[in-house]
Amino acid sequence: MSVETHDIYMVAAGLVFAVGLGGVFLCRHFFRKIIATKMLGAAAFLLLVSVSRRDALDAPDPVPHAMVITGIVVAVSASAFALALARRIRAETGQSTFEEGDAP
Amino acid sequence: MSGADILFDFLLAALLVLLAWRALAAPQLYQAAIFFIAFGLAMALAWTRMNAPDVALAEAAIGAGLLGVLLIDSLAAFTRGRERGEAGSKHCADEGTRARPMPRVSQAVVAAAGVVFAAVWVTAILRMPEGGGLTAIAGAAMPESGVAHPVTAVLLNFRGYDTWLEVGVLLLAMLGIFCAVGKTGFEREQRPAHIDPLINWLVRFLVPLMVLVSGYILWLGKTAPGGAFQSGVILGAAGILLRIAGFRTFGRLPVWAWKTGLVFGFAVFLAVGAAALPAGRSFLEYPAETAGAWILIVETACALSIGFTLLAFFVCLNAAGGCDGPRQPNRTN
Amino acid sequence: MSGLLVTLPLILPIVGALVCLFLPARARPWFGLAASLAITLAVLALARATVLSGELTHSLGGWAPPLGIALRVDGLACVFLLLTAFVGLPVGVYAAKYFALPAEAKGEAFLFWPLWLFLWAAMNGIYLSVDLFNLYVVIEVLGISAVALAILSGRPAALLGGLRYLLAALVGSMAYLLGVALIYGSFGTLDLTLLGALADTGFTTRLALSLILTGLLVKTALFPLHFWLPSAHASADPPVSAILSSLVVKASFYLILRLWVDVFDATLTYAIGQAMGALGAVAVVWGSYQALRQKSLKLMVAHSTVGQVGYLFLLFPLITVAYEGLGDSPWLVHAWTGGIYQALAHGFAKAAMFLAVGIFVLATGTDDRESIVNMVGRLPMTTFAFALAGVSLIGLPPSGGFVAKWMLLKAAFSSGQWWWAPMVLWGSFLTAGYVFMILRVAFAPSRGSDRLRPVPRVLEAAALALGIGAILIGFRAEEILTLIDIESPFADLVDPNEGGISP
Repeated sequence: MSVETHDIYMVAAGLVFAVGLGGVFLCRHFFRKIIATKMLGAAAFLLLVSVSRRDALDAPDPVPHAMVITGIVVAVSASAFALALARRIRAETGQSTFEEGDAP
Repeated sequence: MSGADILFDFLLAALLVLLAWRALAAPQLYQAAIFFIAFGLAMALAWTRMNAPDVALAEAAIGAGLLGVLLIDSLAAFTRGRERGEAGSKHCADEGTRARPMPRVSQAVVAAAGVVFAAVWVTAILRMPEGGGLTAIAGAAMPESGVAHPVTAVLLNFRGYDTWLEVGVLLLAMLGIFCAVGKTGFEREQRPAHIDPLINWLVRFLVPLMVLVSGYILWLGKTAPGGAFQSGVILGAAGILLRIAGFRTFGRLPVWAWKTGLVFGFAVFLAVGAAALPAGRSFLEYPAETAGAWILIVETACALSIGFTLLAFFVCLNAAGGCDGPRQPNRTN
Repeated sequence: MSGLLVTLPLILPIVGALVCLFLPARARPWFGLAASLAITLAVLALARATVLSGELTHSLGGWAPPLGIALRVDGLACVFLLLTAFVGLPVGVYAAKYFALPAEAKGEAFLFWPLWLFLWAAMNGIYLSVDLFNLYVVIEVLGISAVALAILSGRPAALLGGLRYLLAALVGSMAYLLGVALIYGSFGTLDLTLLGALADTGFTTRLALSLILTGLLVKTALFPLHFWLPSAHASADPPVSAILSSLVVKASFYLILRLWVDVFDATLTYAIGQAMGALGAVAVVWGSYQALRQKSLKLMVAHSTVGQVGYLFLLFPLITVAYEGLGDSPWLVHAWTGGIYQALAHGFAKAAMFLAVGIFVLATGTDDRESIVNMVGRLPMTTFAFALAGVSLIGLPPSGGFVAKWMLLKAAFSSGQWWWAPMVLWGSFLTAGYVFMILRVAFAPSRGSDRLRPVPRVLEAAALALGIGAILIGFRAEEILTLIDIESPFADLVDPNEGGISP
């Protein structure tokens, strides 16, 4: 079995997900937690596009591409909302981490 | 696949994981932001490696570009209060920007969990059956889709429902940001005292060009990579540029006008989709002969709204303030 | 015609939300209530059509799966659509009055109606959709609108609870999405109906299922993934707390149920079912125990949700035996209807309880458990609503909660999985503890002459209507069972003498 481009990125997707998951729970600052959730999304998108390349006939499968574009916009919207919330919390209370317990 | 290609992919994949790691582990927040933007650009490169130019455009423009701008803009809000920290509230210090050192045992547990997850993941990838995807089915339906570019056909026609909801998510996130920031978000926009004449000239030159490019990319989406999202982001970027250069973007608009700007794309999409129901077609089904024209109308409306909403994200986030922002009297602990 | 019927529960709330945005703040409640009524009528019409003609489907954009996205309505979807409408309507009435009170019109309360209608559309979207990726998008709509509602008051506690909620919701949906990507890679389709025939017991499918389930469990707040719930639900305004606790967690539960029986029935094993049941049982005891310990009224009700959500998951070990070759047994129907009944009963009871507690807090100005002395004399209607909700949560007859717990107990014994029974009873015992503790204070004579702030009657009536609803669904079992059985995976097993299909 030969290694192909999509195999490499499929494996990378899992590793990026693991890093993101670790970040969500271990990082304390809101800013990093938000970045970490974005990493989780990037992992899923990476897997979808790898799959589309693996299943390509003449051109790659367009359905995962469309899903990923949708997903990127949705994820960025959610991140912007989270960022606004974190900034407001910082402005109101001065805190940029959760105080009791470190869970997200 | 040549060996050089595989080597490049391998290095890029390794770089992705490394950048993800650094973005979360870098000691300073601004480093985290920079690594994150680099991560986004590396992702865009990975998309082009996998023949996904539409995704690469979207990632570079929205994922790395716009979110990068928002993150950098937020940095100041999270770090600005550091000098005040000693005098005022303890929270205003740089507390939490650095990860707390973990005990050895926890480190071992986290590392073990990571190894187990990686092993499970690789096994799952190796054993994944060939699903085959929908390439052939989508290809067969292309002549009826009204456009020539497959990704646009999926986005605006085959899975138009997802795209409609996605434009809804943008609107909803804006409402959420509005709740988070407070109702003064738009009103607080102020013109800076001094505007650099060079920047002023540059912006006057760049913005019309960006509007043109955005229109071109919208038109291009019919046959080639491009379309409403990429076009909308360029519009939004033009707006952000105007604002950074000190032009007032929202201050002048009456309330109903910016509400219309936010809602426009979503509402037009809905109206076009719902008009199909009384005619006996399915929700979001275009009339067969004129599908291309309807898609262009929907895309144009969405691009305008997306541009407007992204600009609104920036303006409102700007108003969310930081530690020494105008909300200080409300501080509670 | 059926296209309109199926899509109206989606289109109406969205149109309502958009129109609301442009209305002056004073007109919004009236328009919002009119829209709520219209949605309820549309859902009723859809349920009637489903009863008459069985399953309804609609291919969006005219593209059938696997290329396009389909909507599908069966009995289960109808039950949840109706629950949302019948809880949403009284909560809307309450909210219309509550946010008009001068003391409560703070923050961004004027955005309540657009956001709530968006949230309603998202819930209906989840009940109707049968496409895995579309469900991801709808889940994000649900999450963002729910968090935006939770932070309406703008209080720091609500902002912090909201951010924690948002981050948890994002992690959940990203885990879900990664699972969906694995599924698409393995089977090349996202349609639940098509996937049902394809899903296997392969390693990749198992991992995808685990990711999807974990993501949804975070959103449903099953122990130990409930960490975000108490702070978010307790810090929101009372009508929002009611919506979040009684309806929003049910949407992700519904999705788990739908995937469990429609798609992954071949992938699931006895062990996975037992694990879900075990988490549910721990949640029942842990959540109820935590509720018992709280000094704050709203935190008590929020922790009670953690416990009551646990009961929902006792359904899974009891229906999973079917896939282990143990045959078609009548207890499957009991377990299935018992679980769904628990979702309904908790929906009404928890909404009533949050609204009642909101009235107590409004009247006394504090959230302290001990502050509600002699409420039975001062706010009898609200105390009664609280008591009715409590009866249903404990599972005393006659109430919806009793039907639910009775059926789960019956299924536990007849399937031989008796070990779930003590958990059900222990949970009821603890629930009785915190309900009666509150009622004990409410019945205690007041010592001083502390004056209450006036409470509008409409608020009390809305809470009472929901409390009565929680009891009443215990009496209307037959109609609900008829609805549940439409296209149910266990419909064939229904004994016609036992309240089955009777048109």
